[in-house]
Amino acid sequence: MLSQSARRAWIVVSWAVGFLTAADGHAQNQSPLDIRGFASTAVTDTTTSYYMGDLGSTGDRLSFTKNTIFGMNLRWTINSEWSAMGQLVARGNYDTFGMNVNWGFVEWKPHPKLNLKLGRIISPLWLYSQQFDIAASYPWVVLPTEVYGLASILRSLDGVSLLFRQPVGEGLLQLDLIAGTSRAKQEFGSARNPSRVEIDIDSAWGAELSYELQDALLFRVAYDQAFVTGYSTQRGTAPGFSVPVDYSLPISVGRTDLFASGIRYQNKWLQFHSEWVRRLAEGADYSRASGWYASAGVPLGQWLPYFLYSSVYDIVGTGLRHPNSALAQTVFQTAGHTLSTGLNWQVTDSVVIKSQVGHSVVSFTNTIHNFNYNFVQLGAATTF
Amino acid sequence: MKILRQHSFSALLAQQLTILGFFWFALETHAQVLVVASPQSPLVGISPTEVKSLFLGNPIQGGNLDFRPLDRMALEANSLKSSFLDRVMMMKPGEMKAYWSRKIFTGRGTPPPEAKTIEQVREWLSKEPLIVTYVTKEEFDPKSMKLLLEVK
Repeated sequence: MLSQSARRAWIVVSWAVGFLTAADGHAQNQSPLDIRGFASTAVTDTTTSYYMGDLGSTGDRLSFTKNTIFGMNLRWTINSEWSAMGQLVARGNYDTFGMNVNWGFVEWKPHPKLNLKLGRIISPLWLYSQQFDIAASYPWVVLPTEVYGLASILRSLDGVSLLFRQPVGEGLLQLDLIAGTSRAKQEFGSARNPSRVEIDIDSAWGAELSYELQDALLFRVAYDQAFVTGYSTQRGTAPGFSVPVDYSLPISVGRTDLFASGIRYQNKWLQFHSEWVRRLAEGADYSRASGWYASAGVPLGQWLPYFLYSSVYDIVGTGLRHPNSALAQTVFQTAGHTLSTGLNWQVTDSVVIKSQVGHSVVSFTNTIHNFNYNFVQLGAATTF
Repeated sequence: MKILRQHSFSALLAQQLTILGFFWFALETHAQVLVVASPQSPLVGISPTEVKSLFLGNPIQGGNLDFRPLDRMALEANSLKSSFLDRVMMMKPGEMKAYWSRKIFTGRGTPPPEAKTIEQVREWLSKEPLIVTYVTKEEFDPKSMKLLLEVK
């Protein structure tokens, strides 16, 4: 029996399919309303009952729900200069679905090389910032947690952005500036030991500079600065309670600086991705951490075998606590890395089935609690 | 000897016709692509690189002018669109679709509109002087189109 949230999600998807059918029929007449959708699902099984990270794993039981996403992207072209766009996403969380507006803005294009957006805008920190929920856009089952988990609270801002575009040689140089505020919720952990961080971003601004050579090469650097307050909710034992309860603790974050760089290169024989992110924060609960990954795949017709190595290191602070609630107050993660290999099958232009197996190692302040585990992930994604 | 020469001539003729047939098939497989604009367009020419940039949703050098692409609908296999994708964009249809999926779902662009018939192309060109599109040699009409690039 589906929960009420899941039923709502299915209703939205059904409407989307209906609209898509109508919109496709009107494509020749250049309808001002363009509706597209995307969906993905994934399941992870691991050899550990703990879960480190907020992407992908359920840890203690198999569940497709945690990584099932339905989304709808709408664009209304008002005229040659003005348009309005939005993206709704219904995301699974163990047994329920939650829906939110990923982004939604009004866009003004007064000049071919200048875009102004006002509304909820994606912060362009990572290579796949804009496609965070579009699993069909990237080769892995889930985005590398060691990098994309470092600042997932800063995914979108309610504010304004300016995008400058200048052709340079055969490519395009782009500068994206963004400023705004946000309230973000990051949920991770396992069904048995859930954790949640709620963050208020009082003010933030960011910049991304990228150079894209046709569709073959993309190189980018980015910087974000945010002033953050928030609290963390975890499940564990508390004085006066005989059963585990959810308890909240204020977290010290303060000013946060994020530096990132990334490269994507692809041709007929190779797909290569690499990114690096460094986080600096004033508060002890969210302070310093760095992460990077490198991935290489070889397109073989409809198949894509690939390797991925990802690492998080130089973690200083109490933000990443041990998943065992008995140790969460005293043992904190210092580093981790994952080596994995995967194979994707592009069933059609719009549908891909993914698989990934790997080994992760997690290190803590008290090394006696270090552990490692194997995992296997299966996923499917589509756009329509 | 007379019979032998006849057979040789027949075999040679069959061989030549087969070769000509392959050439004809090759020509028909890829229609010639002409990149055109409105006669009122300020463009006097365009490079293949600029065409590719335009059809990938990127601006080209042109000051303040917002040149926009008009795509053609793929009505059949080995069509004009196939030739355009192969020779100008140097991308497969699946790669093009994946590219626009990335752009659409980031809110940073949408694929260009598509014209189904040559009449729709002429209508677009007459109303929008900054449109750039492509036609076959048979479709080219010097009264309603300005030739910018002939893709060989």
